Amino acid sequence: MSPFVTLLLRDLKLAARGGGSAALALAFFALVATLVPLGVGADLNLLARVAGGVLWVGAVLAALLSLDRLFQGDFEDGSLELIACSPLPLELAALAKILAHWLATGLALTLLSPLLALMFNLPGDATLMLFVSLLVGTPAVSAVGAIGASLTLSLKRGGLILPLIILPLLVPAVIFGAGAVSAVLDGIPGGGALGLLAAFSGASVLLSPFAAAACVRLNLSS
Amino acid sequence: MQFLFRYANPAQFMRLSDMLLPFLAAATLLAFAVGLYLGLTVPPDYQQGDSVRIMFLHVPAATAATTVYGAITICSILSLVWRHPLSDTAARAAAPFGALFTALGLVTGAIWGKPMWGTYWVWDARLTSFLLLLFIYFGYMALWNAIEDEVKAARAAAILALVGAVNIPIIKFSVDWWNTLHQGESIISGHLAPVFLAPLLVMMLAYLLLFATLWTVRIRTAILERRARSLMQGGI
Amino acid sequence: MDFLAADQWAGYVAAVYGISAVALGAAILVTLLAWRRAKARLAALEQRP
Repeated sequence: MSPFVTLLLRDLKLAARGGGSAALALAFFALVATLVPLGVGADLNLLARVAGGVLWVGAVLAALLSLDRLFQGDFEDGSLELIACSPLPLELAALAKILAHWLATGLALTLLSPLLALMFNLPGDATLMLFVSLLVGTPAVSAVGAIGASLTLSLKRGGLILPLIILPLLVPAVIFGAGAVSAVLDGIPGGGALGLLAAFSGASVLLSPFAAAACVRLNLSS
Repeated sequence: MQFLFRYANPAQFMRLSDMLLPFLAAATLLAFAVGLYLGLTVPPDYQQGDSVRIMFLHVPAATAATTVYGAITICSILSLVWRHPLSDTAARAAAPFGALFTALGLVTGAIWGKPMWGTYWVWDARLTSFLLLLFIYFGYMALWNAIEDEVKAARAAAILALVGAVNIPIIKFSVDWWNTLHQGESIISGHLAPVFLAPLLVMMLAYLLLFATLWTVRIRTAILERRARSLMQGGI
Repeated sequence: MDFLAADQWAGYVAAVYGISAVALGAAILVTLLAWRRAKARLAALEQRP
């Protein structure tokens, strides 16, 4: 098995075993989806109109929860140094970790989203667009999040700065993702927004391993 | 490149800035004097009345905010790629001014909103992008403060600044896209009567000169503080 | 000067100019005070031995 796949599977196993980060993210996502109607009222028309935005923001925040642990665990027990010294380039290792994070968090949130969309009275075609947009967009959250995680690696209370750093950077994903859902709701094709989202996601996934690897190297060379 | 490295050493910078500072300060004062005079005496706009004078403070603050980020980006590249020694200090020193200009741009923009659009806050593309820029500045400054090792903090901040630099155009684009989706046409009209151009340009220059002056003082302060720190550590 | 005989928006213009003056003035003050403090501290340290 290639080192990439080994690392990927190892991270997935760790995610499944320790802390249940996927379960926590799903629960948080569902809680947000429950709290918002309690806050804004049960007017089903209003809820359908805000569903895209609310669920997108909820998904981003839920995925954020486990991001500060992305490199932290390996950093603390020394595995990160071994990974950096291994024949696998650090950029690919970062990509493997991003992929593992997405599979454990982003993908799970995407799969839950149609159920939550139901609570918001979102019509079928918009729900489909929500699902697709989350599927396409959550990798960007993991990718950009990895940059934040690697920047705040050595910090004890780094978890507080992480959202501050990466949430502005994720604005395009939220805008395009929720925009695609709104478009379908208004009867306009959401393809344009979806395309922009895909471009943003693709670029993030392609470029962020380089930034993340640079930051990891920075933190290891002390 | 050689030119930049000639002034890389702190002592050289202190000498150079010693000479330049009086001129910078004088130029700043002059620019403000001329700009304010022009801005306050130009006849009011037939549509917007006196509120157009707000533009002479709002737009310079906004352009200064983005210019400062550009300066931080350049310093970050100098730091990461060429390891230019003073650029980290310079980048860190510039950030609070950038945040101040951004906040000022937001506040003045909101106050301008009442005469322009009838409300204090409207999710206009420009104001929204500015709000996000403010958060980006906060994150940058927070990162500098959070990492204890100065060298590490400098590198990390430089990387963050560059990531931000790449993202800011994308964020601006996405907010523009979102705005046209929800608001229809752009709210702030593009044309500007020529008589208003002079005060605007002078004030923009004034703000940039003010930044240059204060930035230089702040870098000098940082150099002195570092000297003091090394004296304290050596003396023990 | 004409600007004193301003119209209904005078309050807003004044607010903007006032806030900007305070903000920029504070920036200048803080920067200069920090410089003075650093200079004094360094001078004190250099005189010690």
